[in-house]
Amino acid sequence: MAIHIALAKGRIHKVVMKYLKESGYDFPTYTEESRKLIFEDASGSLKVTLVKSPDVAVYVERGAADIGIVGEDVLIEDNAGAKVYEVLDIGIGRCNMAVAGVKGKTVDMSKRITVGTKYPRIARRYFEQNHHSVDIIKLNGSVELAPLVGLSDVIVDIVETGNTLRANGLEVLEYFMDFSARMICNPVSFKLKYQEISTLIEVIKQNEIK
Amino acid sequence: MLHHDEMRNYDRIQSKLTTVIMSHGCKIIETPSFEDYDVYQHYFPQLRQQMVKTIDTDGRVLVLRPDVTVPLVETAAREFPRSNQLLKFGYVSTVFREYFGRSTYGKDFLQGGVEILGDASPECDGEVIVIAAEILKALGVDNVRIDIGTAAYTQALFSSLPLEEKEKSTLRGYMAERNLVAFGRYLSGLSLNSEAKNALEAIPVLFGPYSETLAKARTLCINSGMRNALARLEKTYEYIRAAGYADMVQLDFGFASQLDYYTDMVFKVYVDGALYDVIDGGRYDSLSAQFGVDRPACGFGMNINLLYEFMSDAGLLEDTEPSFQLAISYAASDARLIQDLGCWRSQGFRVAAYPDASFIDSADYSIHAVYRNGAYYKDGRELSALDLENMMRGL
Repeated sequence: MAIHIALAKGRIHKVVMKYLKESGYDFPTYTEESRKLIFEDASGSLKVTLVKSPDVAVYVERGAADIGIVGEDVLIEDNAGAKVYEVLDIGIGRCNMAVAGVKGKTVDMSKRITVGTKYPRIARRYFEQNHHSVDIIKLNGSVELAPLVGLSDVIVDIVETGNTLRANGLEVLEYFMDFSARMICNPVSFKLKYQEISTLIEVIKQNEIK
Repeated sequence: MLHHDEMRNYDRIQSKLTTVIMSHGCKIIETPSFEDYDVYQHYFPQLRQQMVKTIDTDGRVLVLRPDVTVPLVETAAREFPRSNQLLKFGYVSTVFREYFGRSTYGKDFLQGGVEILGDASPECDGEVIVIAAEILKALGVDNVRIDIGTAAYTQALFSSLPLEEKEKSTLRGYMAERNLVAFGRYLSGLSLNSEAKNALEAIPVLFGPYSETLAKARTLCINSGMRNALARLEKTYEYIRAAGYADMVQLDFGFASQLDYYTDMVFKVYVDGALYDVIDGGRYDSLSAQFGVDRPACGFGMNINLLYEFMSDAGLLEDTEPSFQLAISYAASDARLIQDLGCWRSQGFRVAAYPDASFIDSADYSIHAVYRNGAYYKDGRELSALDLENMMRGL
């Protein structure tokens, strides 16, 4: 049985496609630059679809794809409650979620503070767990700007190297969550195609060890 | 809006379903559309948000029924208080909760189902599963897969774990979601002996063909409760095998729920090519006791909307047929025409007449004729009422 896998477009799909190629899957029509969104391997056993990351769980939940690979941050932020199984933690795409503010400026956490973020759900959960009152402003990009122009007191964002923060005069106040990519699976596919899915899990594990 | 041909196909599905259900001696019932919000909040906390709430004239909060089982068991407890009385019920009702399939989505769906009360035997579990299989067979659905599990097996395992309630419920939560990543991580942090750990690690992925999965499950037993659950499962399987449906059956020990709703056998039915279950059910022996009558119960519910989507994809639905077999247009109606129409209808033909100023879609009829001055004309030829009747017979 062929399995259909939905990959989050971007770094995840590039790494996973490399893993698959190195393990002997051949995708004749795939190149990193290609604008095609759907690829089949030469043996016909694997079909890959590239979709925007918040859509991965939608494809998998509805059975348009059997499995998906997507960042855990996206699963928590955009797909809470999706009826999918999380079957494997994949080391790629590791990153941290952090609270950051203007360098050298202390934020009075005892008062109600304003938070700018692309991840309102994650941010709210974090501050609520720590018993802080916050107003959350959902932004869609260039989050670093918010504290600089006085839109918010702090930001909550993914930090990989910290270069963007430093370049904009911000610093991390606290790292509070780390994320990696997850393989998710449609509940029915998980059973009907368990053999094929297990094989794929092994393929990915092998590549990670290398 | 559902259109004529869809309604006709839904009718066919429903009538086949009720025929099968009634052949098992089930009484067809319907529960009220409105139910008490508090009751559901208690039994299905996970539905709290998606239930449709209304306020009645007294200011009480009511919900549109999100399920049939709870009101059915409640009513049965009130009207039939003898706890050993066998009660077999079947229903087809709209239930108001969200569902989605591959391409359909809705806030309500048509649910068909069966509930058998007062029979605690594993044979009853078998019968419930067989009814589900017979319904799909009657509908012409092939490649059916029935996954059977047992909640008692997992419960017995958990009961002997030296863990705090909170730890157990976290584990069960991850198990129910089959979040293998979080489950494995949480499990590795618990201090348990290797036997218990082995069993916990294996159960979420313990599914597959009957014999080999059962054998594996046997090796994981750490107490008599688990062994008893398997012995019962075997009896249920024997029933299904004798009824001729064993080839559809697989086992899945990973069915787990955070709630203690199901107490023993649980099952889901999948149909080929559809990535959702169309039927799910199981044994829930402790529900009725909460309404004052301690009576075992077992049943299932079937999402007919999802099944319809599947049947439509698989080409199992019947083609549309025009709503009129015979459509007659007239300049002036008279008693003769009205009598002819009545005569045709009484023989079961679908006929109607309409003034010739009205437009009628040609897809809506099979035969079209004109009525003028006491005679019928089709394509310029004069025909008698009997001629038209014979043409309809020949359709």
